[in-house]
Amino acid sequence: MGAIAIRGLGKSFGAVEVLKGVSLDIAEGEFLTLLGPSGCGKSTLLRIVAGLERQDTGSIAIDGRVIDHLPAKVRNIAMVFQSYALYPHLTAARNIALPLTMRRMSGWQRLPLVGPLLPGARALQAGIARDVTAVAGALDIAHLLHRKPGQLSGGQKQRVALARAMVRQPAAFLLDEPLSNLDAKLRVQMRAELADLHQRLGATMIYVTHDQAEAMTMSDRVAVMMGGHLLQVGRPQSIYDDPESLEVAEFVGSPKINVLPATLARAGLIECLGTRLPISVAGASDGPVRVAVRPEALTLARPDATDCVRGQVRHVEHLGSDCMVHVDVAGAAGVVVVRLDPEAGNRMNRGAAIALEIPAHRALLFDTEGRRLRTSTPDARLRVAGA
Amino acid sequence: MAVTSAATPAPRSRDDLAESRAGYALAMPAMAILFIVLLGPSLAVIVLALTDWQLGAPSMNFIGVGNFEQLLADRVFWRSFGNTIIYCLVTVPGSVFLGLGIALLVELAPAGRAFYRAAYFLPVTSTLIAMAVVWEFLLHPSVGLVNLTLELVGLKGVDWLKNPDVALFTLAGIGIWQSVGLNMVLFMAGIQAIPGDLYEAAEVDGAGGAWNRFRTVTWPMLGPTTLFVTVVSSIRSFQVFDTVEVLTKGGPNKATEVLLYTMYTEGFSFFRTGYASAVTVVFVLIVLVLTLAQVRLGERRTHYS
Repeated sequence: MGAIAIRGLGKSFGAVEVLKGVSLDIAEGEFLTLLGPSGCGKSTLLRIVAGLERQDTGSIAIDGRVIDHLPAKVRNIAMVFQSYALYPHLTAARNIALPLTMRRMSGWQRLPLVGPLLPGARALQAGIARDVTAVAGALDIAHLLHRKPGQLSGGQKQRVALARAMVRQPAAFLLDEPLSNLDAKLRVQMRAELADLHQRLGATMIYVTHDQAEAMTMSDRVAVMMGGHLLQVGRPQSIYDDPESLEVAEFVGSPKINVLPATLARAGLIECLGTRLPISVAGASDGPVRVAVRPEALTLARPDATDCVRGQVRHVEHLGSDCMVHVDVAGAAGVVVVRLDPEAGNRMNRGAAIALEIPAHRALLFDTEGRRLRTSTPDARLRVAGA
Repeated sequence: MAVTSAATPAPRSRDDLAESRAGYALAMPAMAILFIVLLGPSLAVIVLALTDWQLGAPSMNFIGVGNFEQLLADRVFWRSFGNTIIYCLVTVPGSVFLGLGIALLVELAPAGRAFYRAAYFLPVTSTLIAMAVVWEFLLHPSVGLVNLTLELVGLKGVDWLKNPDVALFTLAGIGIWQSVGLNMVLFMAGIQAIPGDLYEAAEVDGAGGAWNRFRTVTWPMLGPTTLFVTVVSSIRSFQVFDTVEVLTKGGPNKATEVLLYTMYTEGFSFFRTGYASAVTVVFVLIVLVLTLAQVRLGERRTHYS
């Protein structure tokens, strides 16, 4: 269980329309990431699914059952907050146990002093303690259970928050930027652990982040959101390789994709910064277009090449495993970034002339409104090699 | 460099000495004012408590703990001590819990928060001496609004300020009225500092209703505020004086005699300065012990995040 269907969800805060009719299907056991810049509505969407916020229009169903009218606590959904939201006065064990005590025990049995004396309370307590220990074992925090949140590191708090979400075996997990308060190294580690946890639990997870590395590394599918719209939903690699709009292409990928002005000259030929690309576009009229190329798709041209983009090296970033070369090209709106291997990068000097080649099969074409233009290149052999 | 300097500490040069002397010289004015204004008077009171000095008398004798012996044997002192304790036991819980309750309600109010806050804070800002006139009128046995209202619903009022069984509690009621506003404002600040996502976590965890939210999040998170409010309220109610002086003068028959009032009459009506100083020393000691005990007990149960 845990298939979530979202239909035409709309939400406004005052005059600000945060969600503009979002529809999304999340399969049972899927890890879906909502990726977008801050303010795009992804957190609001998550909070509506959790039941913390009411939608203005639209509907949400879990396993075919509409949950719009249900309060958060009976939705059988767990949430992990960006700030972890642990209760600072309770030990880790009691933090994790809280969802269970609230569900399994009556108000009288929860009372301090008197509660444990009531019939059945001890057996329930023992059952809760067993479940807490089991979850703590699975997350490797059994030795931290007696500590209070103030005595835990960020990563440990994160695990306690996860344990609190896991302990009642919900139909779905909602994670709201859960890694953004961790340091970079721990974030990478937790990324792998979360993905592993998802494999083990097989539970549906909706993960909200603005960090594309998290989205790319953990998700089964990524939903890119901007301005209250879902722009594209797909596997991480297809979002990266095959964006449907310039917005998605520019948001995903670091360093950012290079966007170059170009002209659709005639059928099968595009002129871009002095080079001619053998690309044909079905059903597009002649005129200005934009060519987008990922930094790693650009290659150094052979010295004797004639059909290439010429520019000057402005800046070289050595990253160890590879090298980002920023190039000033006349006619381009900003710098053009090329990713080279460190050996080639080392030979680049600031101010030196550089010639770049745009492989036609790796160039993405967009119209002036930012919509993707489907293209075909005549060179099928290169296309296969590049894919 | 750090290693060598650690291994062989540099000998103190003349410059170092001059510098430390200059440091002391610069700190002197502040230290002097601190001593004269804060520590000196306290010390003077302690010294006076050991003498039989009367205000204006040309001479005084050092009588050791004589004042304290007299104090412990004095029935009026014990009466006023007991009255102060009773006053505190009514006023502190009353004003703390009422303040908390009002703060919670005002925080829930969708509008008019500023109005409620100002209205409840009014008694804190108004001088009690002036407000006492209003109270005296309200509590008048025959023409007072309180008894007239009680009569309307068929109840018989009492003489609130002259009945020895009731007078102390009447003053305690006025004490609560006076300090609820301050406690409310402090609690409101505490409530606003509670992170909202804790409430959201509680809601997802199943602790959604008003009572569960309060038990799971609000009350524990207000721990430091509650401790502070309780300590401040205790000290303030231990210092009750103005209502007693204006409304009852410690009467009827010492029923509202409190520690500060005893001290005041001894020191400024009978001019027994030495004895009044002894009362003051005892008073300060009680407040000190009370405060320390509350802080110790409270901090064990309070979480500062």
